[in-house]
Amino acid sequence: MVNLVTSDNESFTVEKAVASRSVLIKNMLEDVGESDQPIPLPNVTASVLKKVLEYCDHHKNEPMPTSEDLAAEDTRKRTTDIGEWDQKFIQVDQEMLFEIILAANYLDIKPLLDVGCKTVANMIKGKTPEEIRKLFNIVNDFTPEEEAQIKKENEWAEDR
Amino acid sequence: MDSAALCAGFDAIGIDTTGPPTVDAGAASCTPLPSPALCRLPVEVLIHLLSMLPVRDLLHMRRTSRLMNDVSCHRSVWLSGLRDLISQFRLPLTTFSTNPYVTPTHTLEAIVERPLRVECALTTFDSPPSIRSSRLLGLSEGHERLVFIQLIPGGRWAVAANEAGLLSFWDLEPDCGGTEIMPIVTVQYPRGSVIEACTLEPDGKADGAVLSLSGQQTLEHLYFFDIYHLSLSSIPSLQKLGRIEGKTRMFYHALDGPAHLAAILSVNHLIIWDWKLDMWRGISNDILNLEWARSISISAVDREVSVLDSNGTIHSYPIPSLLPRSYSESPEIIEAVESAEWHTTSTVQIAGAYTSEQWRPADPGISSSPVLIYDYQPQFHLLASTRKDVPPMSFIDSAHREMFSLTITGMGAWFVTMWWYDGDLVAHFTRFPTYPLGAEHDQVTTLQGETSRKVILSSDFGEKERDWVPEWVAHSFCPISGRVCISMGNGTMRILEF
Repeated sequence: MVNLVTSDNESFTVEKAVASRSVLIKNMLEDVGESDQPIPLPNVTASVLKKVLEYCDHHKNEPMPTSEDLAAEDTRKRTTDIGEWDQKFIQVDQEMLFEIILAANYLDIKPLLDVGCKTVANMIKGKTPEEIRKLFNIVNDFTPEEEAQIKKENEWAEDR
Repeated sequence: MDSAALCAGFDAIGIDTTGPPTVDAGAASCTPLPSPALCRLPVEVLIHLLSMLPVRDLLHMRRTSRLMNDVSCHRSVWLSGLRDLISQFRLPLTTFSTNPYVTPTHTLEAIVERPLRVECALTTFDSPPSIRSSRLLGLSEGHERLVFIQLIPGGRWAVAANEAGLLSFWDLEPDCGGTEIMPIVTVQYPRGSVIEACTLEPDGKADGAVLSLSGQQTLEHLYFFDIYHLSLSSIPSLQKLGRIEGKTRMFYHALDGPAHLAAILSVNHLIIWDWKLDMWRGISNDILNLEWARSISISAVDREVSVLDSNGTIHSYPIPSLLPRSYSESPEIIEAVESAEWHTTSTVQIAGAYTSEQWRPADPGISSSPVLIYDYQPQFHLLASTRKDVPPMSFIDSAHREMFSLTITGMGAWFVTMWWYDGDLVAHFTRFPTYPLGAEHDQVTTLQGETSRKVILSSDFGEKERDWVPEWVAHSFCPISGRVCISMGNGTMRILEF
């Protein structure tokens, strides 16, 4: 068993197979060897880690993706291709979605990072720039001149 | 290593552990989120995210803020776009770029955006599609009298053969505009052969194109050349793929590059030959009176070969799956589509193509290869497919009377017609309508001229090109690159680009 400690000082005890879905933790365990030392995760809060561990637990018996798998992956084509369980799992509010993505990136859990990014990509698809800004609360920080210029360069792709 | 050292390690990775950055009060007060969470993602995650977006959405994303604009200009976003392009169209890398790792990012972006640009140019009805560039293709001395010209799938190269047995290749990248392009390479091909078709075989041992050569109505050889050599401007050697023996008097044939299949129609044989495995996939005798056959097409996607006879009936034969060399059996007709009213047709063409799924993956569209027959005046007919769930179509454009050429292109999504009208060379690009699969149609769908995009190709032609009465125009259109190659009988060749 592995003991993980979150930024808000909550401690989680999980199977090694679950924790090892995170390449970061897996490498640490390999470096440290057998040890009862708790592993601190200063970038992850308890609520996010709970969610991440739920994902890891569900996928614990799947083979780890190899670097070849990752290279052969056809990202754009598979954008909408999210497994059924994963889709349900990722139905969270936006704040949590981005926290999961950040945690997956930090903990180096590539499949979870992909599920998160694909979900965001699906939210972006088919929307106008203004709709995207509204959805994600993005502040338009272009000067009017810059905005006019960038619109001119890219408006050929407008859906008509 | 103890836990304190691990903590120090995390800080060294450079991950922000101080919590969400402060945002301006104005934005926070009117929205539920304290800060744009999306913009807090590290740049490498944003790059990963943007790489997943289709080009159109990526360009929308770029317009939202400075940060997104910066990230969308990142090289890896477009390298990943290039990778998608290759897998989507099943074309070799060298069709797009000789070495993407030294290609400037803006060029990569232009290559990746091009299919969407062409799509937008040809489907936007409020403004006529503009021709972005028009270039003459030059020929070296002694290379005139062309008998064959085609864009190699993907649209980067044009290939032409002349009567004297010379093959010329032009590299159309980069598009420097306005200037005449000279062939990069010229190769001698076996004397006495006639080049009939060129296809690309992306799954071969090298990225290459296959040419079929025939001599005296016999399909003698298929030749393979490596387009990687073309991309290095070195001479591609013509490598013989095989010789089809014992069957003389070939009338028509068709090639399918990705499936490495050739379908050959002889007096009373239909031969399906796999050039990669050098074996017959099917030989049929006495299946129909093939002396009256008019055209043949092959569709590896639908696993069928279609033959049109002069009564206007299309006969479809299944392509047998991989079987031992000894296989020889008469395939049964799986379907015969009557189109008797069209039997007056003076010019006939069946064009096999890939599914439009590959052209626009999100579109369920036509899942079958369009088959096209045309009739001269006052309108031409087309049969979109041998499938019952795609209705037969007719296309009416009474304004144009003299059509020279017509092809199905764009992996089955487009057809192009060329006309000589009021002193101008005019092209019509028409997109096949898409239909839900499984439905049955008994009505002929009529496509009106206004559903197609009319483009005057001759607007910037020189004196020499205008000053002749055209008898034939050979053309080739590649929707991935937006290039049209036209050869006008008097030795003038042009590459136009949308």
